[in-house]
Amino acid sequence: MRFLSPKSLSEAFDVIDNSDLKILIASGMTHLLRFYPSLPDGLPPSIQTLLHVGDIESLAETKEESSRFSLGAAQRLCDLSGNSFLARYLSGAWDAARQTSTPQIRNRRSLGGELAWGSYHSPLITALMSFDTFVRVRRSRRSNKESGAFEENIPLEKFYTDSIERKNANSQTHFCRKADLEAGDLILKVFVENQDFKRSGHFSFFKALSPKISTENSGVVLAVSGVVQNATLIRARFAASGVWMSTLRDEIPLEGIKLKPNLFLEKLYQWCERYPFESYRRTGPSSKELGLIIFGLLKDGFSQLMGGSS
Amino acid sequence: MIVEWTLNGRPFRSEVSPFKRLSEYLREDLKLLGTKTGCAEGKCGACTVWIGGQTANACLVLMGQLDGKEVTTIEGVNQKDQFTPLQESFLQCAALECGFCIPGLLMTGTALLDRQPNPSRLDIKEEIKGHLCACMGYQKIIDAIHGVGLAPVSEGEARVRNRS
Repeated sequence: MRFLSPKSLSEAFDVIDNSDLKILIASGMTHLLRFYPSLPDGLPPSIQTLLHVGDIESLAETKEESSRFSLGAAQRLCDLSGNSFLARYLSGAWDAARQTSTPQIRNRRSLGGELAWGSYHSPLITALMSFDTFVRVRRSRRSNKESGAFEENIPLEKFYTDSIERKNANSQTHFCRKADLEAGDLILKVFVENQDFKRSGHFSFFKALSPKISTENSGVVLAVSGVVQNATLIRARFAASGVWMSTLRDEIPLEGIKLKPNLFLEKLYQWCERYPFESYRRTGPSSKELGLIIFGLLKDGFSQLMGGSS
Repeated sequence: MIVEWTLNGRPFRSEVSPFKRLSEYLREDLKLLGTKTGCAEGKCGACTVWIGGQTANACLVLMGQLDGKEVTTIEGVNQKDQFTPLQESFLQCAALECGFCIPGLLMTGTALLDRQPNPSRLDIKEEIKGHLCACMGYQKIIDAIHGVGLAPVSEGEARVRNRS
């Protein structure tokens, strides 16, 4: 197996486009090296090249444009947790980056790698799903033989088409989201395209169960983004995932409700009690237990928003 | 593959498989045994080194990723056979039990203190989340990084330490 580490994007594109062999693209490799202890042994035999894109500077750029904020796919999670724009306007994603795994892993793991692996326990994926987040992917020439390589923007929730069960040589299994990626496809960046995040009254938060089950798994991760004006909820969207192995992404239909602790939390509890968790649940806690867990995390976040204790 | 990198301040040119893990290369090829290997999957933190000044699990880094990078191991932290203030603090606080996790914790603790000279106990707890101490000596380790074993440099610092 070949190991290639290009220093520029054009060099990486050349390798991808001019190779008939199947390519595995990686950056921080923290997921791969944990899951495949004898890497490259254990990888599908069709993969002949490992393309390391972690040293490509242009893949690690942050850009703040008029209506969008973009993060390069090779940004490491420690870069995200040190990003002041993210902390100010997209605090849910910022907090999720800070709560991912351990400091040593965050110093190596890339945003693109986290998205491509697609763990149901990933704080960052869940937090980004609570915003209007898009993934920009470069499809390789093999994907479209007539017109060659091209780039496309995909809404993050549509970037995951299904679930995938990964098995390694030690019969270790990892159940993840299946990303819409073929061999040779490269995640270029992630961008949040919504003026709302700079609007007055915009809020977002991230919550996870604590203590964690393991360094990578909190059990349940939840993020909310929305707008509050005159102490009234204008809109709120939540995303949650975890041990039940699917993603919930929905609006919280409490628009127009005053953010007064008793009133709001009672309505929130009623909504959680009626929410059809069963239709999303593959495994893990019962639907009723899930409702209580989700309510607990939402209550925690909204209580902080209301300025009270949780 | 030829990897040109810097190890403990010295330029290195290593002919090595790009798929060899840094922890294995340090221990097996360079005989730098201060970097321990525990779980080999980034959970115990015993193999913590610095790459470009940031902590990383050497067991989760391939040699192929290190071309042009600067790596520091525990052997590169104390120069001239002298203990660093943090190593002194570990001794003063008796924060060493079996000692297996200590090199990794020293790397993490030193990186934290370089970045943030007066961390709170909460900051220290957050920073050492990637380390496992099988002897359960966490309180003394936190004390050591907090510097309670060292003489305070001023009366004000002594008061702050006594309060926390």
